[in-house]
Amino acid sequence: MALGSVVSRLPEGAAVVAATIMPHALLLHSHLTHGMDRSVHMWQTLANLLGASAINASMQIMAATALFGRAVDLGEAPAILEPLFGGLAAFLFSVALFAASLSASAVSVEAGVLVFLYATGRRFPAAAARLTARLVNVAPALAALHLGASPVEVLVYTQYVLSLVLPVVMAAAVRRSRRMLGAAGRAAALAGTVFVTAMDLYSFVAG
Amino acid sequence: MGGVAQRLFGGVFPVFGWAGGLSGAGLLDLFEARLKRFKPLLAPPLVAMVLATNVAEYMGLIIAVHLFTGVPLDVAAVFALVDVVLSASLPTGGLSSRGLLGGLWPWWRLASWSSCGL
Repeated sequence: MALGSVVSRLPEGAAVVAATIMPHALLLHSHLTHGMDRSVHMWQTLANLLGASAINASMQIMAATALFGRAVDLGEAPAILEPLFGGLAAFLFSVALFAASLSASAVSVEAGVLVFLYATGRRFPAAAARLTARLVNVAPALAALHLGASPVEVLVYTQYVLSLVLPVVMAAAVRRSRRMLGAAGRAAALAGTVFVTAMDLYSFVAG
Repeated sequence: MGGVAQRLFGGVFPVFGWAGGLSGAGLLDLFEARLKRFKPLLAPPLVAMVLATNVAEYMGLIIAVHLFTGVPLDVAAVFALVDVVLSASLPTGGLSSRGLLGGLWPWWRLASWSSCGL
């Protein structure tokens, strides 16, 4: 499972890196931290990441136990979980996916508002900006579904687009923040940028 | 890869959070102030990024609604618009808004409320 965690097929590998780091969340996070105490912010972030990592690890262990060796679409997961772990597990999977989707959607919409503000230089009312940021994506998403694309395929390839943008965001952030980060932070951010860029290049060559 | 990558790269959030917090500005504010000449190069990939991620999250929501309710994907796509209502209606920076975002729930405020007996 550990090997499978770091070695995966492409473009899924690059897509998972982008889905994990989430460049839009990096941007939004830096805006949401205004006024927060530095140590509170650090402990809060570490606690949240620890919780997320525990959930992530439990999902991987469960998937390795129940789904190893099977080609499974995300939509089939509850039907597979039910006979193995009971109806409650399948129900909780659906509830967790729904809650996570709502939260992820809110993050992407908020990040979209910030980026549109940056790109256009104009400030809009919050509700109108959020509606625009979300609705502008509904048409292409529905078109993809009607053309027969699998939602999971669309998910993977949009995350792959994210992975291509990730080095740009990280490199600009590292360049801008180099005086504030300190040696350790600079090295960590630079290592992350190099790793993601290497993943993208590798996916072009191998994919 | 998700689990390992999350552990390795979760560290970038405190780092960029510090950068934002210490400077009193978000990264995009800093880009605007200090990297203005690169804006024509930075803005298009950033817009592509948010378009891609918004489509991805919407797809995730469609799958979730489909699994949760059992309705077909086409119908789930309509129900999935619930996030539009939520996103547009929640107050910016409010507790409910931060709760929905999930990552920055102000636990310390809850602790201070409970210590005040509220």
